[in-house]
Amino acid sequence: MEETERKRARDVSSEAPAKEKRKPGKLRSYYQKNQKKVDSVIFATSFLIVPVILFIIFYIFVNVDSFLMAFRAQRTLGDGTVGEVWTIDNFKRIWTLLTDSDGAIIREALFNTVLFNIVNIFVTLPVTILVCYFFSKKIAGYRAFRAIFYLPCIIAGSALVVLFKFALGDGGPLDVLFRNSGYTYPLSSAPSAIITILIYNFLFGIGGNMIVISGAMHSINPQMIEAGRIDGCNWFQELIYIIFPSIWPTISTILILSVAGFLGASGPILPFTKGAHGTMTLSFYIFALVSGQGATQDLYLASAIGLIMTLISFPMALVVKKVVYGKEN
Amino acid sequence: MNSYLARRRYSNKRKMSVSERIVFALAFLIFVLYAAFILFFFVFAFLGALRPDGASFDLERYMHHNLFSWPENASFNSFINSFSTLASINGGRDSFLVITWNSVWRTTTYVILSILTSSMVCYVLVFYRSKITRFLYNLGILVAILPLYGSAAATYRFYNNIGFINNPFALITSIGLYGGYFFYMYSFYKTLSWEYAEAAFVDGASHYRVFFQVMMPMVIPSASALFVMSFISSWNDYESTLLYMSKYPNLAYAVFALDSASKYIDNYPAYLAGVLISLLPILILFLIFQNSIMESVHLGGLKE
Repeated sequence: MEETERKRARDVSSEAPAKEKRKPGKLRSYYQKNQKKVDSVIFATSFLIVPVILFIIFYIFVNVDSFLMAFRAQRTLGDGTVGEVWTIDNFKRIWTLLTDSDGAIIREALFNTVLFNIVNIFVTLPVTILVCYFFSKKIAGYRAFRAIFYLPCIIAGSALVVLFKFALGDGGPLDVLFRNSGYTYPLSSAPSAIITILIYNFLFGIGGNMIVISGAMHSINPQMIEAGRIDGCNWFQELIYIIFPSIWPTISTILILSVAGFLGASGPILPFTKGAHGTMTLSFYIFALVSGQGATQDLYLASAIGLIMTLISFPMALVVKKVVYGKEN
Repeated sequence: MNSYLARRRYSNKRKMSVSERIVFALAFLIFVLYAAFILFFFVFAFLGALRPDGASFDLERYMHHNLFSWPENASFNSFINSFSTLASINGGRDSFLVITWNSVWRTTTYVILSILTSSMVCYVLVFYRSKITRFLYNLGILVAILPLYGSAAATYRFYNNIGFINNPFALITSIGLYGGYFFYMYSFYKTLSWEYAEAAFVDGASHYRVFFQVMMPMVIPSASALFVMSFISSWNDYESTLLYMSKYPNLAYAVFALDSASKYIDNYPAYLAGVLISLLPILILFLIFQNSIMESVHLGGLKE
């Protein structure tokens, strides 16, 4: 009797693991059925998880905090300690800095920012397109020109401004050359330092979009251009009616990003003047308020100015995007 | 290859009209003048750096000689002394070697992290299509056209609160979802065919193996241009050094700090030599990769 019970018990214990093998867990069975899909999801998640977490921390959280900071300021509290309070004082200060007859720094910054945009969008960009067109036509020495024109873009702004100031600034060799020849040096007679920085931006900004525009022109099908030639179009018609529409996706992207960054346009204000002599721009003013270089540090005011700039720029960018892409979008 | 041959055929056949020749000759002349204008700065700086070491910046005296004449008593001492000139920022706490090393490790870490992450993110967004990846791409477009100007203040405060100011660990922020020339990288992967990956899967390769050994190597020739562009912009970044890493000054920051402090007044040849030396690594890198940069970077439209 005892022996039969032992035998039964042995049988049960030997059957148990066999049953486990036959019935895998739900997760395991799901994996076996959808192995390809699960592997793909695990792979994609492993590639995205860290960037997404860092994006949440360093973009979303920081920008929500920035929004809240616009409505806060540091004050001495009742108990004598310094703390943050909710206020709209930052916006009142912005209004004062915009409208005050004395020292309306934001008005000056806004005006200069518009000037930088006019130069960047209406002067530098068309000139860059024209330059790239001649490069695409393999004008004599185009490889050397291309490398030289791009040089200012690979050099640190701090170093280039130093060279510019030494060579072309007030009291520089060109200034002395003009004076010795009895002429007035154009940059010395400029109404303000902002003209010099705008000229600098134009002269050294041509290379800025050269790479992407050249790349776009490089990928145009030459047979299309040849067809235009057979139809008798000259170089200008070819540029306007064939090349320009072909590179439009690239140009439109540049335009949208330019409009989105409209209020952020600036030149190398920091190494030139630190915002002095009427050269303040909106983006540099924010930088100055954060770094304390060229203005007293005030993170809350910087956030409030940034918030207003975003509220103005974003709808503008959306409208341009809608106009550019039309119904397709 | 066909496109190349078509281009050759086209350029060989084409004949310019007289008006076109005039336009191209004018353009060539303007290009020569503009190129001379850009090179003028470097020649001027080089000749200035060769002047006797310790010279003060006295242009009136200097202009009695021809602007581009070889300097009297020219010497390369300034290039050697520029090391100590650049190192005089921060009260001489960091040597020239330390400043150069800061440029190297900060730039290299930033570029590797940002470009590799960008490559991984774009690969998944292009080839592993789902509602989530489509949402992430559209979010990327929103981030690109949503200019959040005020974030510098909050970022500075956040970095300060978590101890990221003057902390090398802050470079972890280079791992950005939309950093590393996101849209350029995205368009590189868009041009790749998924059939290569499918063939590798049939041979038993895993997803990781397909990415690292099949797909990523095909993007590397184009992505090398982004790598170099990213390297250049990071090497030249003096503004973020000023804000977040002033205890780890790089060469671009050293040039800016010296200029701000007007420390070149007493020895401008050494200063100009320092400026030229700070440009050297970037110039070499650019000369090596210029064709890759100029011919392989494409930017498409901002839509799916």
